Amino acid sequence: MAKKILKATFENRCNGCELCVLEVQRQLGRVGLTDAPIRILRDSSKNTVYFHVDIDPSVNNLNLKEVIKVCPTSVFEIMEEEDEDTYIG
Amino acid sequence: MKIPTSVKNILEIDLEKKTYHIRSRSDLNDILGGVGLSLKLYSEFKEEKPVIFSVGPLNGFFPFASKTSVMFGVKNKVYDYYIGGSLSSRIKFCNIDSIVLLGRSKSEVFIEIHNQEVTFLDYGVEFESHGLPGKRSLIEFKTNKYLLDNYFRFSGSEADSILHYKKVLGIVISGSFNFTIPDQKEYDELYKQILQKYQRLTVEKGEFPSCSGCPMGCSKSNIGEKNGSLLAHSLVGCNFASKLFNNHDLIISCLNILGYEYTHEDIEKYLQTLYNLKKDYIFQ
Repeated sequence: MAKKILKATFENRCNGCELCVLEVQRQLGRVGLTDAPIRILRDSSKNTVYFHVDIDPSVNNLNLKEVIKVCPTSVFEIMEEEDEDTYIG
Repeated sequence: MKIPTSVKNILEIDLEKKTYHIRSRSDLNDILGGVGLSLKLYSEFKEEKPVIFSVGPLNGFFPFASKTSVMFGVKNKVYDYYIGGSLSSRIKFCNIDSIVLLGRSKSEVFIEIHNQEVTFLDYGVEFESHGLPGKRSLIEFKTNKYLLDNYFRFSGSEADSILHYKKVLGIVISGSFNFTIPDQKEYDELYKQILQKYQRLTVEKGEFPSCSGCPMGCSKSNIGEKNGSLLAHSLVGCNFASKLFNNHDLIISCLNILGYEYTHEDIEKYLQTLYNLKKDYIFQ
């Protein structure tokens, strides 16, 4: 059976607002950044600011539609991933 | 952890002695936060030329509460500035309400704050590698000005001058406390209601780096603010969202959901006190 997984397909659009981080944390019943299944990492080593969206697989147990909805720049997509078992036998 | 609603946590950092104290003060409870807290602490510490960073009760918890109050004095003038970026949420997730930098360091120094602990680092360390990934804000002196996360600036060069005078070349703040809300469901609903009100902001949506908790990515996020609405800047909300943050009913709802017991009368009384306190100083 296909499993729905969250991908930051358009990471280059991320504006660093962290609404996705706060959304997944709210779904887990907390406010803060520790143990968040999504992290926004700022790369400020160059002359401008880039954001890297770090996703832990545990996010896929949450309501992904709400994560998609909260992102103002449509960074995320929900993809379908076949279970390895599908291909056995 | 529960939100501490009956005390304000003040981190005092003595730059000359390289020491620090965290004080949990219940006597500051009548003060909402942000500009009010900065001003009260400025009046207490003004002889030590403080630079004060303060957040309010909504930072980190509600959308558009994305600024940090920065207050300091030069000669007879008091500067009332605000900076955006991720700083306010990091300070809040350190479980700190205000950071007070006192005196002047004898040598150039970097300050690392992790929750309520402070490390003084000598100039020359690889400062950018400090702090916790995804949980940090970095203020750093670059060429002739300070930048927060390499993009956001203070709203005036006087802030750059006083930090440089104090020989603080950088501050990295990592907050790793998670908070629980008494009524999570109600909080979630109110959070989403407020987020949907982005059309009431007096700034256009853009494609620039955004402040934490704000979806707008506006072209003005990097330049900070000066002065503005006392209530919005007590919370500490963005001045472009002051239509939202001047709605007392909405603010009371937000505060009550987080466990604060402020009433309309408390807020009116607080604003009057703040207004009177402001009269003692010449603001820029």
